[in-house]
Amino acid sequence: MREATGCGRRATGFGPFPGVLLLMASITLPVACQSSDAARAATSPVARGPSPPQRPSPPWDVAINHGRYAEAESLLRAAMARGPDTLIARVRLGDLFALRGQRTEARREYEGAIATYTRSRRLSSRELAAVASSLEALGATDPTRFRDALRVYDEAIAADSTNWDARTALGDLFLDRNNRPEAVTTYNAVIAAEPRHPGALLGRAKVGLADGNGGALAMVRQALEFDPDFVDARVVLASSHLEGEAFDSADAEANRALAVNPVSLPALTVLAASRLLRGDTAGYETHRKRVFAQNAGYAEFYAQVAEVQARNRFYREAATYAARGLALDSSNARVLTALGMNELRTGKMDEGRRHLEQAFRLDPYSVWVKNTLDLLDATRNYREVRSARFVFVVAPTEADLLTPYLTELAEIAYDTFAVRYGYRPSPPVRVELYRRHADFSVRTVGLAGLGALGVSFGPVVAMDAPSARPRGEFNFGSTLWHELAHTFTLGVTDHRIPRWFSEGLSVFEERRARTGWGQGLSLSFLAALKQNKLLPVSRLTDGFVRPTYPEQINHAYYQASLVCEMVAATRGWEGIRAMLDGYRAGGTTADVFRKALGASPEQFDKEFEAWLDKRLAKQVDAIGGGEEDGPFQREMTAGTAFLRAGNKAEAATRFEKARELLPEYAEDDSPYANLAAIYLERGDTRAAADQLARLTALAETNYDANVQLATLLEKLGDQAGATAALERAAWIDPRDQALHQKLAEMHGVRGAWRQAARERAAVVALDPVDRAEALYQLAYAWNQAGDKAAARREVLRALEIAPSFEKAQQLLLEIRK
Amino acid sequence: MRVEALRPSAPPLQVLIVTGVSGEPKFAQEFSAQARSIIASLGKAGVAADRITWLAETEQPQAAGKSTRERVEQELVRLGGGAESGQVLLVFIGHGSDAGEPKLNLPGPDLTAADLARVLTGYGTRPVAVVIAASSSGGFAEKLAAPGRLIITATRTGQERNEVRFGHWFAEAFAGGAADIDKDGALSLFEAYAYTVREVKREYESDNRLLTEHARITDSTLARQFVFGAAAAVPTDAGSQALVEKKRNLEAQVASLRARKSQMDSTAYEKQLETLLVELATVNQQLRGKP
Repeated sequence: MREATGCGRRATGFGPFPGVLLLMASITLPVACQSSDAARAATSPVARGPSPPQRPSPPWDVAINHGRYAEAESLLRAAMARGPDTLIARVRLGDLFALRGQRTEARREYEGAIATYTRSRRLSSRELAAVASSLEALGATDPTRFRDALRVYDEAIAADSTNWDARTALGDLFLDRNNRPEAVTTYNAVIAAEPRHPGALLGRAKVGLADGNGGALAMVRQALEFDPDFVDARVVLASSHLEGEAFDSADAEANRALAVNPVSLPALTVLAASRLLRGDTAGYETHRKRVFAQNAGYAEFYAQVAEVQARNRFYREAATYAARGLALDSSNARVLTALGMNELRTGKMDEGRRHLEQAFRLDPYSVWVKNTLDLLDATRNYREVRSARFVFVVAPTEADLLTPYLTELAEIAYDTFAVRYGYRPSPPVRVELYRRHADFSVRTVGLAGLGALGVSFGPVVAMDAPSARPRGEFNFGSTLWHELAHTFTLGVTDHRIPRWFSEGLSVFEERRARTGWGQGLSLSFLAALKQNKLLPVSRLTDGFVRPTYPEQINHAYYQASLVCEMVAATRGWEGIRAMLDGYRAGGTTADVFRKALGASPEQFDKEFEAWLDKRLAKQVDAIGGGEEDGPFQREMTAGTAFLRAGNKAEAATRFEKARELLPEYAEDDSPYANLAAIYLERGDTRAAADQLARLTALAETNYDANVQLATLLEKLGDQAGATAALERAAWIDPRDQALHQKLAEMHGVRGAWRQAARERAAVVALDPVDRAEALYQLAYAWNQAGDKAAARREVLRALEIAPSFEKAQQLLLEIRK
Repeated sequence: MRVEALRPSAPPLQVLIVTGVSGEPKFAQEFSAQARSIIASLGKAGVAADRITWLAETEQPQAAGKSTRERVEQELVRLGGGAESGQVLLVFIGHGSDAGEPKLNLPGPDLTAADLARVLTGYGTRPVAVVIAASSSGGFAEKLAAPGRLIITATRTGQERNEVRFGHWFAEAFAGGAADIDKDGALSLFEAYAYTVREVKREYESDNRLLTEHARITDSTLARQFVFGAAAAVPTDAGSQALVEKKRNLEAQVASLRARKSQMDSTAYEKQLETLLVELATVNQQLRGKP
């Protein structure tokens, strides 16, 4: 995935959703907060028991929480017979049946509890909460019950405003239905009154995790401090470790959960998923059997496994597991959602839509499914344009403009990566470009707000179209290159490559592809390096999925790319290939480091640290203690002050010093930009052009600098340089007609008629007022390029609009000679 | 050798251009530049100088006088009062306002839509095109509506109060060849309008500004009948006349074919179109080859 990166004018990438994998957590919250009957039963507000300051848990809940189900059933039946908690015991019995997969029996108890509610004049707050919980459980197959559940929770709270468990359960209901603001308000109200309420703390943490806040894990740990036997919290921690590719930690946490409840289905599922991710199919099978021995109809198992697989980029496998879940329970919305989403990710568009439609009928509250279906409707008219090994899916208004560029670059990328990685993805690779960033975001994670620019699911790439973002925010060429690199690195490792390595290679590949492409060195990265805030390589994935400070995700991208650079520099490309081979064989990072790099993770961390210190020693010195006060910053500040005071000579001297101190700095306020302006004012076009050339060789999204450079170079008679600068500008923003017109002329002057034709086609695609003239120019370029058929087609289009267009008539007759 | 227009002669055209109160030197320059540009372009298109009148905010060389309401009304009465039956083009450039009654800001009292409508009643059914390149001008369209009358306004309603770029691009439409969509060497008022609308939109988009002016046109058919441009001249010998006739015939066939495009198989359409276009190109080549 490609984040919107950089400092200053670019998006930070640390919005509410810093990454696909992270955001997937919001879609696939640990099983404890899903609404299926079995999963919900384990966390029922009556099951959870009151928090420490309140009354002790009833004995049946203790038995359930420790997996002693037979004992729990006896206790519940006894309680139902003798009272006074008859209704509550009945709901808990329903929950117990649900846990065992006895759906009919569970439903009977829930319906019975609801019938009691409708008959009774007065129920206690706890009883009302139990009824609400029953309604919520029945919502899994009848979504109208969710609304009833909400109403009855309100009644429970009205009956006793200090029933914190009921409030927490209400928060869970909001969270399950993706009403995060209400969920947060509800949890916060509980925490304000009961700061030690484990359930509310866990709920609040789940919202934080869904929002990409790595710090929320601290709240999960806090919940565990107050209730060390809180199985759900352990499962959330374990799931989080899985997402961070820390399988041993995930296992350890799941085992802690099992120590409390040896038959916890979510904990066993985490263990199974963990085994599967490591390629240990026997281990997976063992845990799977344990799960189904408890509950033969537990389709949630496959839903959760599918979601974990998807979070770890095994989209095809995720769909396969979800399909198994569907075979077990055709009315499970979560399974259908996992299946549909992952089918879409692997390019099975029709099947994906069909399954999501089924999911939506079962759960119309699922915002992810609704968003995705809406997107599929809205983009139904997108055009599919095929090249040799790609199919591009683009808005009809932009297809003609973008696909010539996309085709050319993607085909080059395919050939380049096929050689470099020894892998050829089965064509066609599907590349989707979205005109609205929100659409791309929905396509990727089902929600708007993703801070990324592109994503690769392997054989399917989705990304922002240039029109999705303001000019200067991204380069659609380097983004495509980055995502296609993922397609190859995912493919060559059977999707086993860890996140950090895949991202690192993609950024590294950008830099290798074209001068200026790829994330550059930032002041904040240098500051993080100086302050020892960079993560060790073995834990670098955490920086992508659980950033603990706003810029960490950007730092992780850059750092990962440097790791790849170092490996390539010290072990050759063979080192990279050996790592990829190691991951494909199912090796852990420790295994791969030892075999491919000849070092333990700790040794490699030290080696990288030393390499990085050496590589960036001068730059770190330049920034002093941080982002604010170093020799570089002092020279920049002085230069700016002199510039404001009108002393341009001294300003230039200071900016020149700053440039020497940190030549990699290429943001908008860089020494290069300032110096170019000063030199230009002095009339020194050559010097100004040199500065802009250095700037554009570092900054991949600076449109204006490229256009200005082209103008200067043309004045200096450097047509080739000017053309190259405009070509770079076109990859930043291809929507400027004048730019394409100019490029077409330049290509024409040097006899590059095919490139001229591409630019003329871009002018036509931009819907010029003088369409007939634009088509004529396109036909002319094709004719000069020797493509008579294309020339004939375009000149006829020109004459169709303007039958008496003299130049076009002459060209038509010439073509037909 | 005697020459005649390839198209039937257009009816004699009279033009009145009014530039209103500018408010700022920048606008004064822009309004005058637009007026001069249109005058120059019309001159090149064959409209005689004595048939173009410009009333400006201040006295200046090319202007016939000051654009006070009184003077504007006098000029309108003069243009509409004679025995002439040809087309009249009225172009107002400046600022407008609409607080219930659309107005053009002129030196002294403003010219209201009611004032203009009253004077124009004297034109009967004579074809009149009124172009109002001013802010808050949308309300003029309803107030001036009448048979045979075309109204073009820079804004859709009176509520679009920001300064407009319509005048700039309208003048540009006349100045360059890019607005001549069908490349017939002449510019219709519809082509000028279409060009202006697109370029205004493009300017706002490229400046990343929200489009705050939405032009409107009341009669696109009538707008196609206001045509400016020197008609191509052809020899009048019998052979050439036959070629001219053939050319007209082919142009009509292309137009007819295009009208049927949606009902035709695309391959058949393209084949027929190419045949006609090649024939048309050949005829034109023969015409150009005539001494």
